[in-house]
Amino acid sequence: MRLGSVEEGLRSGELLAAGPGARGTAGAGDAGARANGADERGGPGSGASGWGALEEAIAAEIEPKADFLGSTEFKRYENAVVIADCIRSCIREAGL
Amino acid sequence: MIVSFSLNARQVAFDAAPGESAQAFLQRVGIPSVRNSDDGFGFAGSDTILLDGKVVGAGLLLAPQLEGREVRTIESLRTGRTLGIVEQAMLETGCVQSGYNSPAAALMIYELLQRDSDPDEEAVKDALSPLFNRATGYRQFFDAVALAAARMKDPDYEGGGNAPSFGEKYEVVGKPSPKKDSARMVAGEKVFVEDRVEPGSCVLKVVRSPYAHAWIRSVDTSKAEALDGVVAVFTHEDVPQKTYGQAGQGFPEPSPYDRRLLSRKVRHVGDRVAAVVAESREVADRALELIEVDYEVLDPVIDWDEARADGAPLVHGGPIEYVEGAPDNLSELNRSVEPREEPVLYQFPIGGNPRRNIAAAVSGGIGDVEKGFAEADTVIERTYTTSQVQCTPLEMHTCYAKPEGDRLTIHASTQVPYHVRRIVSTLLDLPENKVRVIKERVGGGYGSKQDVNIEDLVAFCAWKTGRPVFQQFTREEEFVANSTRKPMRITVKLGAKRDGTFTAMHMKVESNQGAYGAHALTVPMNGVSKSLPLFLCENAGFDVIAYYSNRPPTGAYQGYGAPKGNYALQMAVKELAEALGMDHLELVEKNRVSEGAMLEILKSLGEGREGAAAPAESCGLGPALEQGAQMIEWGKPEHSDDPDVRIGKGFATVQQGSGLPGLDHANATVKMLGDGTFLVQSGGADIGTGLDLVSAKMTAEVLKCDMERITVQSGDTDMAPFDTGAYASSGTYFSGGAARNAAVKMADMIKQEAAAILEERPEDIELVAPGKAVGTRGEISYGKLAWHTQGGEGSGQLIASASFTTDKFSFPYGAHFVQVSVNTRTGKVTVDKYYALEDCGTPINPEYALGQIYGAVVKSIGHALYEEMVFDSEGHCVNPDLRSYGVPMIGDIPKDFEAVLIDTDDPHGPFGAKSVSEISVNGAAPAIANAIYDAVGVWIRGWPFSPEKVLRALGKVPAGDATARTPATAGSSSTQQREKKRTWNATT
Repeated sequence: MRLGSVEEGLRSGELLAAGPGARGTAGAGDAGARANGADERGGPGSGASGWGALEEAIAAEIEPKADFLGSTEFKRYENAVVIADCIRSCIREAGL
Repeated sequence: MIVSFSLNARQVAFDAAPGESAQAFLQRVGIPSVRNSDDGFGFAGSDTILLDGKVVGAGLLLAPQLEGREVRTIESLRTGRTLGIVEQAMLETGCVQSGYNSPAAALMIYELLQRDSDPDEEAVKDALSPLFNRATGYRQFFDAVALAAARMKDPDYEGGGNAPSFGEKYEVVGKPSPKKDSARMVAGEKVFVEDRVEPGSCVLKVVRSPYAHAWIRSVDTSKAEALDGVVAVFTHEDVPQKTYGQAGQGFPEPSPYDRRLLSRKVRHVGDRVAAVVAESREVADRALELIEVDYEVLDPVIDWDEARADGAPLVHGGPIEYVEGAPDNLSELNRSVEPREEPVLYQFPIGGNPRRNIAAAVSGGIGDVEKGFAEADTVIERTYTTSQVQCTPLEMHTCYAKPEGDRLTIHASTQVPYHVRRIVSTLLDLPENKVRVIKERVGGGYGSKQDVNIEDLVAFCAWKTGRPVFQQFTREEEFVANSTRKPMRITVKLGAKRDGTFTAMHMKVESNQGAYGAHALTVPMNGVSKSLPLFLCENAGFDVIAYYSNRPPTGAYQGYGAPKGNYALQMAVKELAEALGMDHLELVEKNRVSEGAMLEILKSLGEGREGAAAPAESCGLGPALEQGAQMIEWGKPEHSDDPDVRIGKGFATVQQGSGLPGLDHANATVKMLGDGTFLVQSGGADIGTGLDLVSAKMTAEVLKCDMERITVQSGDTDMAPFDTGAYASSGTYFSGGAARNAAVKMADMIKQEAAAILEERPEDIELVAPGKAVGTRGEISYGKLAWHTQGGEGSGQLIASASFTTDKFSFPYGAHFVQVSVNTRTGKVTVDKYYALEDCGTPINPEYALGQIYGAVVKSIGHALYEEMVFDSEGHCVNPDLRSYGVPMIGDIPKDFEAVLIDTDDPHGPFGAKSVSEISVNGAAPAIANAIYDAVGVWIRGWPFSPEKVLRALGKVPAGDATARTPATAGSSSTQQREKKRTWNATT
């Protein structure tokens, strides 16, 4: 499987310009905590937990299927962050 | 074909059958230790061998793949009767409880130490990573490896296990001492049911329903019956038209009788349709394929809300009957009976109404709950759910029955041999003296072997055909045709004053009972009775309701209802603490049970009989909370170097019972043998927990003799007196208590005899170690005394029998503290620290008490974080294997994992003992959930605490289908149903 737009974005550097700290639509941790009945204590979603352009691009490219391991939404999110982290790790190790 | 290979350094050649796995092949040619836990799936590791020196799963190989290779099994590590270093180390560190795959573990450790003489923790985890262990929780394996490594360097190294000792006033009780059966199990000896199967025995296989709810219009067995080697095929037309229940509970049971051996209606995917008895497994499998079943498919009910909806399909539409206490509206209820269905028979009222899919229901309480809530400054109400989880014993359910003259002998892997005898006797119209049940060593029970899930049909088939019959479930059958933990939805309402004083508590427990009624009332009631009394409140109430559904049956599982009730209540208390702005520990301390407190709530929690208030006479909860808080550094914030990771701490208090006072009953007989040694015949069913060792120690302690002079024989209904069985945490308290009482009687008999011989008064005789009776003027050894009594002129062999019954409650208490890391990016929850502090009175076998705590904690971490039977909308379990289901492995245990035994001395338990086995599963879920909140500020109110649930709660995954793990559309096609059928029919 190839993630065409992700590859292009990586080559151009566009996807790496915005790091994981940039929060997108899926990173509303504090709101989630409150919706669940929690108090106002600080939820996650800030710092490195965020959702960057790379994650967004990966999520847009994959079409996971729901099964007993999880819903489509969960798999899209989880795969996007795991793949993004893997890409960043490879780039770091390669010294690029 | 002939396969030639080196087997334990001996060149051998055996004929292999076509398609035979290396595991089945090796067992068939005389190597029992290579066992099957997952049908060649390659996950559990029970089939481990060393192949050319490497660890390999024999179930993954075909027999011919051994050709020319060097095979080593555990049998090669033993020299004569002396265990190898690794097995001995495992024995001394308490690693061997149910022992089914202990030989596999020993081989893995042996292989590790051959290549690494000083392995670190990661190396041990790596070496044991192919092993699934349900009993001991892996923790003690690290001790075993360290001990074995030391002895490999220095065979004279004398360091042993690290278990502490208890009971200063006792010689034997409370001191570590290996179980006798463990030595046999780790050595790979023939100790399990499968080892009793004689050549020429028949195999039983079952056609199972692909539908959750259906009538069987017809079953055509003619082609199967015509197959050479098929002995018999049975359908619903051939079995006794008797309704019965599989719950292994004392008679009369508080569970409805609502099934037949084979019914014309199937009520869950995997329900029995037809039984094939054949002369080989292969023939049985072929016969299954030839049986044609015509179903009339009905709409199923899968969940609570479907079950209780108006007009819902009825799981049981037959007549409702009562032995005692029929309700006034019974004739009205029976007005619209489905005549083709078997009746639902209640022994006495438990609030059931099958016309509304209600198997059982009860409400009760103390004080004025509404008034209590009105007086509260703060009231919270929260709902929690738990999932259907499987016991997953390494030894799958198995039974071997053979007619012997006018009697039937049943070799069973059971927790309840006497209930098996009663249920089979009743079913087959045989008096109990014609049925003998021999409980073999049990390779894991955990509650699932409390029910008569397999022995009923195997016994019927053996008796009907006159042939010895063997059945062993496949792993998939373990999931779909067996008892499982009941899923529950529990709503907790709590009220408190501003200072935290509870003013009212209420629990509403809705249980998904599945297709049949085993433990329908008692498990959900236990969810209340083993959680509410942890807190003292004048106004407390509960509603319990169990709904039939078309899921696979549920039943007992370690902890019974407590893990679920306690999860909900303990989490609600934490939520209340947050609402009050109080520290959780402070709130618990303000309201918790303490020593001497009268537990008034038990008046209304009789679980099918009249309840009574009872005092908490020994209670180590205070010390457990204090020590646990110190260990976890309660109140000290922790921070991770990883910006994605948040760390949190949580705790939960726990309790259980020690058997069922007023219901349970145990007996034992102590016989003095000809040389003054003793044979203890105990009705208790040791399922790997060390109950036989408990009986031996208590006898030795009373009779002041060496443990080597005591042998315990148990679990054989012909040889030992009645015992209700190994459930409800009754073993040490009841069965041990009976052994103690019998030993006390024996001591009196010895004193009488010695007094007569020494011409002294019995009251002047003392028993003195090692095994002699000492008077004021002389003494006599037990050996001489036995010679005298059995010498023809004496009084005859000394035989003492005694019972243990009581109306006294002895509750074990404890507190579990955890520290978790929550990765806010991936949703992963990691349990970093786990401290389980428990008061079990005097721990009779400290190393096994610790092992049971470790095992139970790891199990319950699995239930909290990973395990869940997932069903599609048509009732198919879509993950019926160990890997997909998600059991915890050695890599999942906490880095810092400590079990602590809090020393108390119970006034009623034998030698001050209380139970330890079940309580330990009650803490993980609430403690972890509370720690997750502490870490990231979200409440996870449903098992399992999966990454998806965490991420949804954090708002990182969009809110969607609340039952995200349950595929909405999968599994409905006929293709999938055919796939299911093929799987069940597959040769294992």
